Amino acid sequence: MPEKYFNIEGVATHVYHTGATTLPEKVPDTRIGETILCLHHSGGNGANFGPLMGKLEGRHSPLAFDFPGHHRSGSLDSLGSVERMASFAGALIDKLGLGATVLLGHSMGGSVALELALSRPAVVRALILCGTAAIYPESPELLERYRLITEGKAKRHFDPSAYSPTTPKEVIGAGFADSFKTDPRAVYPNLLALRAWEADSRLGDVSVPTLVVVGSDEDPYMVEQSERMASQIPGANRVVIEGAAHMIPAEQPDRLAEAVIAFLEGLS
Amino acid sequence: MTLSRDLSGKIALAGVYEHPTRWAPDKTESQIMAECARGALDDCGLSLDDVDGLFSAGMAMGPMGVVSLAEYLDLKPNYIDGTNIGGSSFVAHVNHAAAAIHAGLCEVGLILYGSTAASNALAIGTGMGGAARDAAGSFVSPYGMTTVGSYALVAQRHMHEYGTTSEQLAEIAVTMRRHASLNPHAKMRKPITIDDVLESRVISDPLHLLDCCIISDGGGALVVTSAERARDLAKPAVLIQGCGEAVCHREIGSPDLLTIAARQSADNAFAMSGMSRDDIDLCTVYDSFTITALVTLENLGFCKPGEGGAFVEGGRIGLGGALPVNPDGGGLSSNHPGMRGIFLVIEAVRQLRAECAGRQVEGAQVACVHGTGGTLGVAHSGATLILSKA
Repeated sequence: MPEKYFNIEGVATHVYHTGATTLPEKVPDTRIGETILCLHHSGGNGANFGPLMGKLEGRHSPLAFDFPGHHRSGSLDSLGSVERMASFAGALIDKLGLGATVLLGHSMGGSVALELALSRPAVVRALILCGTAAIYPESPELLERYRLITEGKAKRHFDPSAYSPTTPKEVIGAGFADSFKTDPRAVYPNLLALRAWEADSRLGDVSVPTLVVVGSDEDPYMVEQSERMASQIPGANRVVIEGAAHMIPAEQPDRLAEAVIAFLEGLS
Repeated sequence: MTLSRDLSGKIALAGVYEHPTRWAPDKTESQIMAECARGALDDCGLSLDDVDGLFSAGMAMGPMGVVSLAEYLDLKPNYIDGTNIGGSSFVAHVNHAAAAIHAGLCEVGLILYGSTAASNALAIGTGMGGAARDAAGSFVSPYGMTTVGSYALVAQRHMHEYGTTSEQLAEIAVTMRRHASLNPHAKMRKPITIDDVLESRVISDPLHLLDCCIISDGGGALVVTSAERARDLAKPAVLIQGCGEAVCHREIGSPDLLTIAARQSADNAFAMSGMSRDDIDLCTVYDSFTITALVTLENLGFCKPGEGGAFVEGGRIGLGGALPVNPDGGGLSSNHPGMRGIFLVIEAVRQLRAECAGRQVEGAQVACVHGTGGTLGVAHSGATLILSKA
């Protein structure tokens, strides 16, 4: 998958795309089908969408990037709030001249996509909300554990329960390796940012076509959130992906790609 | 060392530059070095056309790396030095540049370092092994010795011999973090306490996570020329009064875990400078681990062997103390892109020029710089500089 850097709001931002490699500063070609910008989960990175982007290539023009503080993008810090992450994603759409873009957001990335659709609907063609929520539960134990990790007092944490029991070990192993590519000092502020944010009260204001995607083995709270988003966002559809829990893009890229393609066909 | 007295005070550090980055996944090492070269030459008002000596070493650079670097910079120097003796290399490069300039082999030496150690996820302390891949090291490496493990042995020995405590080592980490909180470019700026250090996880007993340096990206550059030429340049010159280099031979226990190369290199550097330990206003020393700084201060002669623990207590090595050490926050908190020697020289020069608002050692006239290369406890190198205001 070709990768390159763009300077977005002063941050060297690592962007992944399909098609031919291009010279520095040249924007990747996004003329095929819809332009789909993939937004990753907290502690993840754009490469998590590699298998999915491979399936979408040829029909659509998928792109992904690493948020500041994640993997190979610049900055040592998380952007610190969902609103700032949304405005950053908007700035990336502007800089690359993508126009109205389909946002495919996974977990934290889904919340960012939702926020951008609410704050700047003009740049959002449609929303695909994957394994995400409009409001996050208080989780003092998780936050405390991450605080201790950032102070060097606890070991880094990897939660295999984010994967379906049927997911192959290799996929979970790759996720484990990926989790070490981002500093916990960026992940902890993400967790705080998600808990300081909500869109639950604004779901009725979403004005773009929306597909809510949830894994069949997802955590019950997130399943409930997917149902709520699908019922409250005007005209939204909901799809359940079999054989996936929370890490849908890594666990079931083929089934997710099918759902995305079918949803986008319905747009035109 | 008789002839060297003739060199003392004749050669100057005219330009310095520390790259502000601590995380540069979008840059190559050559790019970082080129940006640093521009920074240091701008600092003293020279250009690349003035440079006729090139000195560099790096973790990812092969033995011919300096040749590729010259090509990258489109530079055709008359004097080339790719000496790599570990993290102290750049302190040694200053010595080499001084000798070459004094001997008339070049006029303006450019010393460069750049690294993407952090964004390339190098596991420097735990991943590379505490023993080199050579005949003698092969007797140690099968047992799984790591770099941090070897430093931990030095710390254990110091504790056993002299009763040094983890709290005393932690005070070094706390002091470096306090200094870093005053340095806008430092990677770790949030102040910590002795308890924070002691409660951080043990990496290799008795060294905790916060006893270990950070890993960052970064780079730096130095411009060395004659004191005479430096007088006409943009910034006040800093003079090289003394320099020394040494190696300590390999293998654990030989000659003694607590005697390090600094003893030999410092004695020679001080003899060359004609100065005494009492003349020193600040020190910049390699602090790969807290124990590194402690045994280095002992071996440099600022306190007697065994007194290091008490020496670092009570704020003595902090800003405002009797001997401020690493006012930039050192490798423990500011930056450590794999090899750190160049930053020791840069910070000493900035301090002697009184450019360090917020972390300035008031009235600093003379600084002692000591870089350690390789791993204490096994074979390592040391390079010492005594620098003064012109």
